[in-house]
Amino acid sequence: MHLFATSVFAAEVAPISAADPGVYQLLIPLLVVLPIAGFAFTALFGRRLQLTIGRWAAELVPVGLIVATWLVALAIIVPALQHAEPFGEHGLEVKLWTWIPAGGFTVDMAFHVDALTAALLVVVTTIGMLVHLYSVGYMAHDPATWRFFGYLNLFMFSMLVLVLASSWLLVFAGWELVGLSSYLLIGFWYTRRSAALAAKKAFIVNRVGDVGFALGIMAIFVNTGTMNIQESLAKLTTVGASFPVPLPLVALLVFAGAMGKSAQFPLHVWLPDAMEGPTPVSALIHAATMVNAGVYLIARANPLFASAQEAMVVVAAIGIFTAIFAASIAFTQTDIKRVLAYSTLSQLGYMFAALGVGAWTAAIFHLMTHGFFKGLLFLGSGSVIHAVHEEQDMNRMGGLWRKIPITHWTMLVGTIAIAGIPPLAGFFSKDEILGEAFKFAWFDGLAMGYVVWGVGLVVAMMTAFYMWRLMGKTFYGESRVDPHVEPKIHESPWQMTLPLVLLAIPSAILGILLTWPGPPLGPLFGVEGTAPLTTWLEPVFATSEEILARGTHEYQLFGIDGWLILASVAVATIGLVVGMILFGFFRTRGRTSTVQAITNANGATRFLYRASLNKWWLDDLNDLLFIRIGGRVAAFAWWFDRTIIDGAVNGVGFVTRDAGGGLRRIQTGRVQNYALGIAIGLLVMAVSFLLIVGQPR
Amino acid sequence: MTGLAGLPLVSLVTFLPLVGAIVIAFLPNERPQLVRYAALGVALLALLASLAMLAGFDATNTATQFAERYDWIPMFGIQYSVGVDGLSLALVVLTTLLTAISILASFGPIQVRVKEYMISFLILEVGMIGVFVARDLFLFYIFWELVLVPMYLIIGIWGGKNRIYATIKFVLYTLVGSLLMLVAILATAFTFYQHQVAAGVPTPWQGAFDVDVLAAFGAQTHLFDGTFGFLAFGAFFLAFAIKVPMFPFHTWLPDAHVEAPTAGSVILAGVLLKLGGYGFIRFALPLFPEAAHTWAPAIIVLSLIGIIYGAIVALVQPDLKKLVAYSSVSHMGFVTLGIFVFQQQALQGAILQMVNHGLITGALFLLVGVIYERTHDRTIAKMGGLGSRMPIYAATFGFFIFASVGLPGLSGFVGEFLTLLGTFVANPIAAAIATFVMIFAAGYLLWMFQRLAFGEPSEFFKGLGDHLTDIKPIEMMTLVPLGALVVVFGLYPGLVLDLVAGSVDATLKAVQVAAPVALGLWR
Repeated sequence: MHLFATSVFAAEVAPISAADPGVYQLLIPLLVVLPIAGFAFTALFGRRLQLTIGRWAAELVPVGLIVATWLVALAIIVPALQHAEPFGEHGLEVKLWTWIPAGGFTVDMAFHVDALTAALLVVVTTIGMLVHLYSVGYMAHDPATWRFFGYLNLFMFSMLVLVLASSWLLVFAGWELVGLSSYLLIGFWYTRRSAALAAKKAFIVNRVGDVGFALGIMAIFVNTGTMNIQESLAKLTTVGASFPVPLPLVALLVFAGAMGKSAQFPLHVWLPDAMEGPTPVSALIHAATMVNAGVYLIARANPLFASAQEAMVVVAAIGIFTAIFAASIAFTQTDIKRVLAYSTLSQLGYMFAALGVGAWTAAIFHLMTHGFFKGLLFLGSGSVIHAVHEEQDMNRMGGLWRKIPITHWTMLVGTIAIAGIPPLAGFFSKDEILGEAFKFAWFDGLAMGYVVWGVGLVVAMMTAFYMWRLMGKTFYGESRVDPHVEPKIHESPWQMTLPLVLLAIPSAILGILLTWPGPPLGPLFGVEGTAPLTTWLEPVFATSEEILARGTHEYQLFGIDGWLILASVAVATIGLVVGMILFGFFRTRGRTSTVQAITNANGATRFLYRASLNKWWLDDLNDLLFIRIGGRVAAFAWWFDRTIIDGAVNGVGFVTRDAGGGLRRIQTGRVQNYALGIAIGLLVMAVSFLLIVGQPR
Repeated sequence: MTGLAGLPLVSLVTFLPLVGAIVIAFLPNERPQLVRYAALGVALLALLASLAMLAGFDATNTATQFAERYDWIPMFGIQYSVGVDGLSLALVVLTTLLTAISILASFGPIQVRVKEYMISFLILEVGMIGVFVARDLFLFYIFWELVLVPMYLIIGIWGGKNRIYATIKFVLYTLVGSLLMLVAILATAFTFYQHQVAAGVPTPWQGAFDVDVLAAFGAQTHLFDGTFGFLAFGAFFLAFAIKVPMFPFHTWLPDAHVEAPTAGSVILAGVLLKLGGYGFIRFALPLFPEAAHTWAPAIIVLSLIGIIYGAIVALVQPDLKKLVAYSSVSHMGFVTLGIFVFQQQALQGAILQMVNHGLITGALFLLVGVIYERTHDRTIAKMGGLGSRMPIYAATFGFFIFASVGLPGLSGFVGEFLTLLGTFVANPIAAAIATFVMIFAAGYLLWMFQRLAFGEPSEFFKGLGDHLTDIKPIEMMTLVPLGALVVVFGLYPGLVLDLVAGSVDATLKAVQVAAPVALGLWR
């Protein structure tokens, strides 16, 4: 949808940029100023406005400012993607002031916009705006909508700081601020204990990764003497340079941060719990934008990773493992949002796998398409939950497709998109990842490429299957909805359905838009060309491509590339068909008894079922390690403090007091008397001190 | 030399509260409100005077400014010598600000012996400012001990149930350290004197207590190196380490905090703990640079233990104030760590951390005081659901919690990060260990906040009914200046960093003379 707009606006925007490049010095800061102003305004006046005038009054400013942010973003995205002046191939830097002036360590409050930033801006501002609109409908019955919109604005501010930052430390600042917004929004219904716990868990688990990220930033400074991302990356890739901190270590430290924010195994445990937040939050933060921050970070740091290929192997391995691990859990979850949460983990795993094999553009491509279709699926699930009166258990849904048609059809688009069926968006980006991985293995001998491709295909099949399971259980077959709720099921208001439709469009066509006239469609229609996304992002990844020195190969639609496409479409189709047979489609009912027969077939399937249902017991393990054992350690430390350390202090006091009956009389408990003793003691000490040290030399 | 318009500004700032205290002593007992406003007026005047000093301060000049020097006990060369550099000035302004806020915060809670309380507070302020401006070791020591007396009274008279135990422990513990320091001061002066006699200087005591003279003397003659320096530094170390407080000398702090009245805790955490960090930078390092290098590894290890251990112990505290007290042990560990890695960013970070800790922890104690005023309880287990009962209070608390967690954009982050960064440059292993506190800090602070603000209102709170009113304007007035500074220093830490840059360079120069190659594994 957005990209339609970009092409329409391009003609109008271009003259402005040509006339006065300085306008971007104003527009870029405006991107963060507008949302933070909305937050400040709402925090101060939102409650009063909502109570005195009405809900709409409290929503007007935060929603209006995000729409304005989106418009400003458009004006920046178009020239930045096209490398127009003043952005050029390497982007535009806007410095506001010197943030930290500490001698040799200087950090600017400055933003940097290049094509990669612009690609992220497309996702963040568009989905952000649609989620704001959707929330007007979704939160219409909440007594504190003003607070919700204030937090959403704070999130938009934080996320924009993250993607716009020109220095590592400012990225880190945005990184922590999105963590704060996420904490506030997960815990939005704070009177619920589960929400409060989930919010805290998300923040703390993220901090585990942040320790690595922070140390990585320090290591980058030690290695390069600068915090500016572009400058430091240039220094890190200087040929023949040696660095105090080995680059693979630096890369892995940075990756630790990415693992936390993008919820990669084993730091994934916070994301499913984060579904305690209102559903628009799950869509915006925990599917479409914030969880992409880790992918963005590594894409941004791509020259560092290309110079440390040992670290890339780790990235790929953790990514592809998370992909299959999370997909295995999504098989058995019955909470509709949790299925989507595990699906998000799995798709993020794909992106990391892509980064790990050096398919940078494919990773960003998938980030963009996934942002739209997963945002759509989450908002759709919110519409479903809304329709069946806050029910999230899919066992109490079913047969909804005719009652909430817009929600159903849009979610169907999202499902086919994520399953990877052409010509919807997910097919292009997922195929790009798998195809690149295979070709890097086939032509360049990158062993990890086969692993990513092989496991990736299995995951593709699993994805199609569990997504259809979600669709079948929710929309098709017989209704299992609470009979009291059944008659009241209704489609959501337009504020909610319009964003669904607007997200369904890019979910359907974004893949075509971002690849045409490049492969695979170009060759299919006999057109020669390069995919626009590849052209846009080419300068960002140029250094890495040079370092990795992968060969270029002609696109063979009727050769290797064709076979790869066939393979990924085939597995997706198998997954969907099996899903349809087992869980139904439209009026056809699912085969519940067959599903049960399969799960109970033998010991192995029963074990797998329980493992999946219990998320491989990782939450239980964490509980044991950190709550039980960790709690004991902390309790011991406190006992040690009171009994041993303070005991020693008091012991000295008591011994002094009780020593010698004769002395006891002077222990009156009065400070004056102690002072006398001190004066005497002081003399003794002064003399003995000088005796010990002896005469001055 | 005098400052603005010929006024002896440093002495003015230092003794204005004393004059105020004397005036207040003559006010009638039966008019507590008059006493309160008079005390607040005095504190605000002192704040204004310190701000005037800040305005007239030349940050590009690293020398001591607004210096005043008069002979006091000429027989021993003891002088009334005061003046400020950037470091002193930053801490003086912090002191005057926190004192004014503390006095305002005492309007409600302190209802008995108001006059005596206010007098104690103003005299406390004299002592604290005096420590930060004294350039003469003996004068410094007098102010250092002067601080103890009013604090002893504030905890002992206006404190909680177990106040006598806590206040005696506080005074005795600190005295043990500071008396050893006095021994070291005397020994240092005597060493200087003997050398001057041997060198045939006609006035051998001249300069024997002047910190600048002594530092230059030590650097030149190396008389303060070796065993002498090692022991003397040890004595200074003990005094300062107890004050900071460093692990394992910290156990007086939780007791003192729990028993002290709110404003006492604010000053204790906000200023008194800084006396130790300041002492290290101003006296211990320049006087005994060689010994500082000898001691540094041990101090770094103790700092790291303090950082992690304080945070772990804070995780299981049942009492709000104890939790904040142990978090102070952890946060102040960054200060000593930053000082003893002898690195520019680390030292700047340590100083910034001192200022930030004063603002943030001061605010946290004020916030604990707000809830204690209403409930007369600080047990975390009894709390819950304040988000719906006291929304503005909960939001304010949340703000300072995240400031303490080290959220970028707020001031705590910059200080901590600079300290860690500088430490990483000098000693990456130490930095790696210290960075892990990011997790623990989030753990104990968010746990506390969850128990306090989230969930349904607890039975205990429900039982209080209407007594549980949201934060009052006068309470908000104490918090807003702190919150504003937390934001300003978070976005523009240069205000502090530029101010103290000169002091940092001077200190590092003094230390590097002793061991120019000791900077870092990396370089």
